[in-house]
Amino acid sequence: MPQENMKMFVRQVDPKVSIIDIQGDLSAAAENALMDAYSQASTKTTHVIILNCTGLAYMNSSGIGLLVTLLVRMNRQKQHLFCYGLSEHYQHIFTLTRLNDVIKVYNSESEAVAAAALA
Amino acid sequence: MNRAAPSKLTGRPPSFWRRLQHTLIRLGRRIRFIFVWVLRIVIVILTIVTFAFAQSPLTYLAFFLALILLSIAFALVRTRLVSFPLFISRSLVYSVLTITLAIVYFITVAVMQTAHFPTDPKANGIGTVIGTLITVALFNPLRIQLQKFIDKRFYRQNYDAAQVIAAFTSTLREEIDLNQLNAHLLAVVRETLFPSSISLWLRQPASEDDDQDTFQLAPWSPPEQGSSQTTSSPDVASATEPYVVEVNSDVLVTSKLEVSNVIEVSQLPLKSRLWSVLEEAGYQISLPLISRGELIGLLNLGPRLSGQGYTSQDRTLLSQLSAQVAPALRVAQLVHEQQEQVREHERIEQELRTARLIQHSFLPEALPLLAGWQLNTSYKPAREVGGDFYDFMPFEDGRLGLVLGDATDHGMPAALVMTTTCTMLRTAAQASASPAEVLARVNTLLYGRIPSRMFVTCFYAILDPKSGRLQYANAGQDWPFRYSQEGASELRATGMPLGMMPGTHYEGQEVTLAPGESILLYSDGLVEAHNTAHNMFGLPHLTELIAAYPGNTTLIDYLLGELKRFTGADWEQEDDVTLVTLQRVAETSLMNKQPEIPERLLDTSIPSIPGNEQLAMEQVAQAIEPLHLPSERLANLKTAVAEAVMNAMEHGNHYQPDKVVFLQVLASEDSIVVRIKDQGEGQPLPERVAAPDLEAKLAGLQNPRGWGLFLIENLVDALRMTSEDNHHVVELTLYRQQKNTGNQQ
Repeated sequence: MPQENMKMFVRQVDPKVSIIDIQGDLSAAAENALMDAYSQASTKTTHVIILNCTGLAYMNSSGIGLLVTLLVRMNRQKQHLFCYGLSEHYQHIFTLTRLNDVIKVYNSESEAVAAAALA
Repeated sequence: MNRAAPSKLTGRPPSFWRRLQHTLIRLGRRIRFIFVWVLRIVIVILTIVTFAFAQSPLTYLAFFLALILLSIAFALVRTRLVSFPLFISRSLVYSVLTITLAIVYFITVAVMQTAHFPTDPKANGIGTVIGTLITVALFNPLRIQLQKFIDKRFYRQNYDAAQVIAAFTSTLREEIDLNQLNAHLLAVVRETLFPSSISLWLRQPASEDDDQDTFQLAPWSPPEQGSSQTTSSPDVASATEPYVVEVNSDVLVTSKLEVSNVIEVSQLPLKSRLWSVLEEAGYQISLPLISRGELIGLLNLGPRLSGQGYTSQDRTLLSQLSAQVAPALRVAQLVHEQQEQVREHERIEQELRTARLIQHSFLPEALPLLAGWQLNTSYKPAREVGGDFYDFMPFEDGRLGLVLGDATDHGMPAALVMTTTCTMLRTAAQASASPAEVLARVNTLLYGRIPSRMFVTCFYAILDPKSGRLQYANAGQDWPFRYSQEGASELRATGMPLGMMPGTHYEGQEVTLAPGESILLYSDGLVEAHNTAHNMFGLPHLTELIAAYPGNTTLIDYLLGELKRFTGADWEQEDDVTLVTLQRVAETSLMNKQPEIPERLLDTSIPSIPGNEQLAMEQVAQAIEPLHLPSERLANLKTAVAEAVMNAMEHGNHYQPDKVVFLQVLASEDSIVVRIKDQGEGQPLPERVAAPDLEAKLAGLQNPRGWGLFLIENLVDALRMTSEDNHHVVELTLYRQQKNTGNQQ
C-alpha cells in the first residue's frame, strides 16, 4: 500500500541546516509525511533544508507537485531547498521541469552541507 | 511624514521644541497668513476694549501680559522655530513693539481727551480714531528700528572657530545621508554666523537632456517641508528655480574652481546671470563647494542679522567648512543617486515579472481534443516580455476557433494589450461565424483604445473538424503554412494589423484540409531570430525546412531543433516564439514503407488503485526487456507510462477500484507503442497545461500540480490522444532508432 512506502527522517546538522532523509515513494500519498517532516526540520534558525534522495525509489508528477508546495512554504520563510542523491533519471526530470533552478542538486551530503553553509 | 522624527544624530525621541517646530513648519502659508492677521486684529480689539472698559490697574496688567503672550505666539508662527535664537529675538521685538504701541495709543487718546474736549462724549470716538491712525503709522518704522536694535545686541556672538570645525568634522564622518548632511551644514552655519538668509544649491545629476557644458544647480530643502523654501528667515525669499550654470562661459565657475573661496555677490561681474539671481534673492556672499575640481554646490548667505559684515575670520571658517563638507557631500550625492537607480531598476524588474505572469495566465490551459485531429503548441517567451498569444475556442456545434497573435512592444503595455485583444476576440467570436467579420469587429474595438503606436497582428481561423473545412482571415500575422507529404504552401489572406486603421477590410478565405494535411501557425519570433553572425532565420529558410520535413517527429520539435541549431547555444532570445500545429490524422493508408504488423508484447489491465501505476510501469519494462532499450530511454518510458496510467486512473476512472486501465505494448522494428485506455465515459480531460510554469506555481498563480502531461510529452517521442468506444486512449510512442533531427530529449 502506498502509505507504507514512504518514510522520512529529520536530522539537524546545525542550527541553520536540516536534512530530511526520504525513503520510498514521493507521490500524492506522501503529502502528510513530507509536510510533517518539514515542520520538524524547520526551526526558527533553519535557513537551508537538504533532501536526502538516496533512498528515493519512485517519484511521480504528484510528488513534483508536493515539492512545489513545499517550495512555496519555504519561500515564505526565506529558506532554501537543496538535495543530493538524486538518480540520473530524476535529475533529468528536475531539468525538464526547471526544478533544478530552484532546488540545487548536489552529488553528496558533504557537498550539500558545505554549500548550505555558504547560502 | 506626519510626525516629527527622532533626532538622527542622537536617536532620542523629538523634544517638545522639535515637535512644535515640526507642527509650525507644516502649517501652510495661507493658514499662517490668516493666523497672523487674526492675532493683529485681536491685539487691536483688545487694546480698544481694555481702554474703554478697564476699571482697575489689574486689568491693565492682565492686558500687557496678554500682549506679551500674543507677541510670542506671533513670533512662533512667523519664525516657525527654524532657529531658536531667532525666535527669542523676534518674540522680544514683537513684545516690546506691541507694548510700546499700546502705550502710545493710550497716551494719544488720553491726551486728546483731556487736552481738547474733556466733557464731549464724542471726544472718545475721535480720540480713538486718531490714536489708531498714529499707531498704525508708527507700526512698521518702529518695528524695523526695534528689530535692528535687538539684532545688533543679540547676535553679536563670537564663536570659537576651531571648536566649530572640530565638532562639525567629527559628526561628518558618520553622515552619508544627503539630507542629514545638508541640514547639519545649514544648522552649523546658521548658529554660528546668524545670516539673515541662507540656502544651499546643489548640482543636479546629469540627465539626458543636458549637454556636456551645462549643469543645473537647484536649491535643496529638507524633506519634511512641503514647500521648497529653504531660508531660515521668513522675510527674505530665495530663488527656487533650478539655475542652469554653463560650465565654460560662467565667470564664477572658471575663475574660482581651483580654490574654494568665499565670493562677494556684489563683486561678481555684471554679465553673470548667477550674480543677478543671487543679488535678487538678497544674498551677500556665496561659498562654492568644490570637490576634486568639480563644483558640487553653492552655499549662499545673506547679510548677518547682527549687521556686522563677514569678517575674515568668518570667511576662513566658511572655507574650512566647505573643504570638509564638499567631499562628504559628493559621496552622499552619489550614494543617493545610486539608491534611486536601484529602486528604479527593481521597479522595472517587478513590472516585467507581473507582466509575464499576467500573460501566462491568459494562455489556454487545456488543449482541446478533437477526434481525428492532432493539436500541438509550443510557447517560448523571451526574457523581455513580448506580446505573443494563442487561443482555442470550441464552439457548441463542434467547430473550433484558432487564434495566433502578437501585440507589438514589450513589457506591461504589450501584456495588457494582449489580454484585451484576447478577451475581445473571444467575445466577437461568439457573435459571428465569419473570421473576417470577427477581425473587423475587434479592429474597430481596439482602434482608439490602445496607444496609437501599438497594434496587434492576428490570425483567426474556424475549423469544422468533420469536414476539414478551415475558414480564416488574417490581420498582418505571418501567413500560416499548409503542408503534407506532397509539399507546403501558405494560407494567404490580406488585412492590416488590428488597431491600426478603423474600417479595415479583412479578406476571408477558406481551404479544406484532407487527412494527412496540417497547418502551422507561427509568430515572428521564429523567422526574426538572429544568430551570432547577425543573420536572420528568415522566411525562405523556414519554407525550405517545412518542405524538407521528414515527418518522424512532430513538426514543432523539428523546427525548434533547427532553430536551436541556427542560433547556437548562447542565444539571447529577443521575441516570443510561438508555434501551433493542427494535423488531420492520416487514415491508415498507403505509406512509403510497408506497414509492419507490430508484435503485441503486453496486453493486460490494472485496477485503478493509487500506486498501481508503479505496477504498470514495471510490467511494461519487463515486457520490453528483450528489446534492450538504452537505460535512459527505458527510464523515460517508464515514467511516462506511470504518468499516463495515473491520469487514466484519476481522471478517466476516478480511482474506482472496480474500474481498470487497459495496458497494451506493441513493438515494431521502428518503434514501441504503449496504449493506455481507461473505462471512463469519455468526458473531456481537464487541465492540460501546455507549459506548466514553475514561476507561476511558486507565485501561487498556478496549481502546484499539472506536471503529468508535460512530463509525458517531454519523455517520449510522440504522444497521441484518441478515443475508442468512447473511452480515452493515450498512445505513447518511442522510436527505437533516433533519426538525426537535432531533437534532444
